Amino acid sequence: MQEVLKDVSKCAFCGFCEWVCPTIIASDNLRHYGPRGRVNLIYMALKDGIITEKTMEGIYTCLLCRACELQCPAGIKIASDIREFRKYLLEKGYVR
Amino acid sequence: MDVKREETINDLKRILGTEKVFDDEALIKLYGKDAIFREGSAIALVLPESVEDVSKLLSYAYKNDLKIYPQGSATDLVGSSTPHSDGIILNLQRMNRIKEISVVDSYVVTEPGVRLFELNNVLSDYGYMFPVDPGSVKSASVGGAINSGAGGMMGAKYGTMKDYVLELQVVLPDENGTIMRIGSKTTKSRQGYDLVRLIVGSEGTLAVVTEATLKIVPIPENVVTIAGFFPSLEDLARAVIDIKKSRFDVLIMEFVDDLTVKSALENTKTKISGEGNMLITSVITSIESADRVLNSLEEIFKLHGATKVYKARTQQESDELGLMDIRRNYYAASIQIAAKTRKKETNKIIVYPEDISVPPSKLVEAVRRIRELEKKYGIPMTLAGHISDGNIHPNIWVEEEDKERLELLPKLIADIMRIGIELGGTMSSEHGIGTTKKEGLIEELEHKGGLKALELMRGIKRLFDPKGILNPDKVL
Repeated sequence: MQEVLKDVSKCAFCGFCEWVCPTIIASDNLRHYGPRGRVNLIYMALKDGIITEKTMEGIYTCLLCRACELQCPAGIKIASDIREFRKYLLEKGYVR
Repeated sequence: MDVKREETINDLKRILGTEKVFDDEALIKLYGKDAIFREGSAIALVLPESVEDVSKLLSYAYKNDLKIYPQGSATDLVGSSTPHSDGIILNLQRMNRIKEISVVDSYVVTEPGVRLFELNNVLSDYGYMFPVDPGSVKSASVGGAINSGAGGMMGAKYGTMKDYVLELQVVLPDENGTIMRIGSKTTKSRQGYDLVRLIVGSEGTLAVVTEATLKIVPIPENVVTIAGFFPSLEDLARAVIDIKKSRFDVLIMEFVDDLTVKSALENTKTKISGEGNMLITSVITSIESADRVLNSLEEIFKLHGATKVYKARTQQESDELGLMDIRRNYYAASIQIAAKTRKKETNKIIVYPEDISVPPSKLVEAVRRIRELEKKYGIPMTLAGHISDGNIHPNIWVEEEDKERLELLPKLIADIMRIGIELGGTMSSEHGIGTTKKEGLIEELEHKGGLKALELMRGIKRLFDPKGILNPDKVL
């Protein structure tokens, strides 16, 4: 997961990714339902070991549509990071 | 969980409903961050859906001495939206309805959670726009823009947020959570002391904005754009003076200094290229006068030594040619350069955009002094800004764990702010004070013999917020 951590570390919290995200729009702007939120939830999990109910909610509501990736100034591969992180959650037994 | 904390969360859930109050650790941490990597904590996160929710929360907070930290999309750059562990994060992004658009009366009524970019998407259907366009326009919310007194590139023509707020509905941090309406839906309004403009730029320290009536303007018939590269900043500045003297209807006038142009070309994808300092100017024209204006601008550019000049007759042509790319992507390019040059790839980077203004005639001197500071401190930066109003944004970056540079950063920032103050300008143009510029505010007022103003500001804060519970320790 080192590569994922490197990638999500690039997030500058600018939020430019959010306006195109279908799930943050559908959720009435819940931050963890958007790409900025998800990237930072992954960072929190991998850096500080914080994984909560809302982490799971954010990560598993992503549609992997990649609309956000076109907007990200730092070039973060958001969808593939989320996919890798889902594998990690599975391997670590957070989901079955 | 301690008893008091648990009691507070249960009370809030009872008063507001369980679906509006959150105490999930990850969620609080996520809403506790801002765009300059300040991180706070909180007892709970509240996501209100109506002005009544906000009123109930503020009334409860007043009666229980609970601190409230309001925020929009948390992309502020001075720490004004960062919470502390002793309070509640009040995020207003769920209040995101555009309630009314009146073309005849030239206004839009909106809730605070609407993003400026989305607002403009909707207004464009009517041939209108909201002209305040901060760099964060894609993420910035109406409430955040009001509270930070935002500006932007089109400030050259249209001014800043203070010029566009007609009427506000706010909630006060008092016993009743009083809902108050101030201003009017007309451009002209002499309603005693101007409380609307007092709220604009108050960074969530006086009242919580729950609805705003904003002035809107027609989308210009046509905009021509010219971009060119000048060997020296002095040449570029002389071109600016001639453009101003020529009485064009300037919409945007931006510069990017030579070192920044070079690193942007090396590190990002751009459609145009050149060497030296870049000047980009957009002017409002009719369709018929586009060529004439553009040719006059080109003459001025070439007269002052522009080596390479790009022109666009329309906004669409400018977008296709990417004339604004280097400047529009300035913040993004700074992030990319910072990310690429990290010593350790798992380190977070902290991109800190500075925000001084000097009278435009002093801009060349200011840029020279800022670049000298870069050498002195050995901390890299990019440099660009709104040249028509002398607003310069040096983007400085450091990475976490670089203790040496992190220690030097506040000193460098203080020195940059001093340049603005000494040259007759200001240490904060459009980002606000928050927590990072409080000392700069004192220095600026002291420099101009205005320290008494601080006392007046503290008095105003006490009148609005007698218990000091609303976004405490910010601004003052």
